Amino acid sequence: MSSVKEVVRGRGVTPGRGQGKALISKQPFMFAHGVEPKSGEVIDMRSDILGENIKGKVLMFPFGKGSTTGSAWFLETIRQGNGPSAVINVETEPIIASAIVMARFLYGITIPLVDRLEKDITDLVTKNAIVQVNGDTGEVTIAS
Amino acid sequence: MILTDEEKAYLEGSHGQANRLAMELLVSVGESFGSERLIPITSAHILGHYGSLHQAGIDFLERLVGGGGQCRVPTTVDPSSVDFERWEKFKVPEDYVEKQKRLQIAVEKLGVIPSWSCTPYFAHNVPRFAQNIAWAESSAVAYANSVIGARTNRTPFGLDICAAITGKIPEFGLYMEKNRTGSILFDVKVDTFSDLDYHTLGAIVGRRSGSRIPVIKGLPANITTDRLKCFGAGAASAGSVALYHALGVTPEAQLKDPFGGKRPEEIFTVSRKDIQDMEEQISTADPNAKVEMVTLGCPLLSVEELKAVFQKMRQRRVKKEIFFWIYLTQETYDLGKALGLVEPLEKAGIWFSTQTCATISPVKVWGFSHVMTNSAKCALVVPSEHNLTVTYKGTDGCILTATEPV
Repeated sequence: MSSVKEVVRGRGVTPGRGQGKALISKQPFMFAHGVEPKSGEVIDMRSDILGENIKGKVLMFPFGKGSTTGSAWFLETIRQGNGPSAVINVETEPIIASAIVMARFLYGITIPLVDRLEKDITDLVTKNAIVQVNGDTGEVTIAS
Repeated sequence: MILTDEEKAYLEGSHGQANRLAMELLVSVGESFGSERLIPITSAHILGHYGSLHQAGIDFLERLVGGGGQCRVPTTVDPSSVDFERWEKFKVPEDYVEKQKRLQIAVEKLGVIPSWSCTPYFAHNVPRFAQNIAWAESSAVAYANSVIGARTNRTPFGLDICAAITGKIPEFGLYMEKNRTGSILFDVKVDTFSDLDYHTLGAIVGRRSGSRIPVIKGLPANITTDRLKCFGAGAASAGSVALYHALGVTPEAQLKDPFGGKRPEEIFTVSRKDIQDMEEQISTADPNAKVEMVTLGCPLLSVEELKAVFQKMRQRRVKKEIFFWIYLTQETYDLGKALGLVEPLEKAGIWFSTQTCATISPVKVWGFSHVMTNSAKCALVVPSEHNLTVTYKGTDGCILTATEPV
């Protein structure tokens, strides 16, 4: 990273470190029929990031919504190598957390999940800004 | 999280690898929700359909089988993505069937009751009032919490089977009395209800409630369980309703003030016009477009509902150019057979399918562009799932469209 713009603290829900370009949805996000596991593309017609790809991104959304099968859709997306490098939520929920924990067990893939940031960073993070997420400490670092 | 010695032993692997994995998942999720402890459950209901579970779901369940996992509480499974007997007739590709069969083998090895039903509360797995259970399947969750007064969150895939084999779930959300209070009131100002109205009313409540718990005034006190089943399915699929209180109907609303002594945050009056408007919104098809398939049985058709279809089908047969598919559990099908309902309906051209449904089976292979259903849940899910348009009509309308006089 070229330079650090800001470090924000949150709660580390699942461990590990990840970094990537930020992809931000300001709406509740769903994986069941919302993300195509074969590509990582967002296919939920109502999503504000329809057509974007979550692969390798730091995926930010307020919280999850939709069917309880969402954890399987998310897990399959990760299995196919199309998962995000990290997830940041306002408040996470069991669909998201279960998928990430299962992915570590099954495929050895670690995706840090951080929520409850001390402040809203969606306005600080410009699209494609590089974000680093540390799930062990809950620290999120935004590069300029 | 504070764990008991037994739970710690699970985490250390003293009860086998499946229990260790399951306990780790439960604890990780519990900690992320600030749960202080795990609580025992008396029942589980899990997801097992390939259409949503994918290869990853097979991997997870087979890992638990390999680790010696066994359900510790009565556990049933949601419908399959294929009819295990009639998949060829329904044109399901063989490789897809193979995947579903791997899931079938896995759930049976884990000791799950192979009910393949979205209405577990009707048979084999009936919880009691105030019991903690861990159920997936949003419509069944709404029924168990609301109609029975048992307690469950909308348990996601993965967490569901881990709860089943350990008999535990982290305590959060609807397991806690304080989180079961209503905050939005729906005052239903309608005198008489058709079957379809209950689906539609559910959709209205689901859309408007958001994450709030709805309280409904104006449902008839003698409402049938089938109608509550349909109402809850509509509410759960149009929004994320996991619990509702119906005044004079559901148990918690009869025992105490469902608003916990507070005033509702919002009061929404539901008129006949609101029901008509929602009915129109649910249909996505061009009204002039030809219907290619008509389906009933979401949630799966009960024996009483099958009897009603039989009455309405007297002296009628399915039109040549239309498919008419009805989905039910294997047991309902067998009971319908014993009652002499199934054979005449099959002769009249209806296709029955058991242990699966139109919403989660690969109907896409038929290439339909317009289907009709009497279910709000089916109508809300099917357009995105199978990329088609839908017309939403009552059972009478469905039968009129699909059939002609003999």
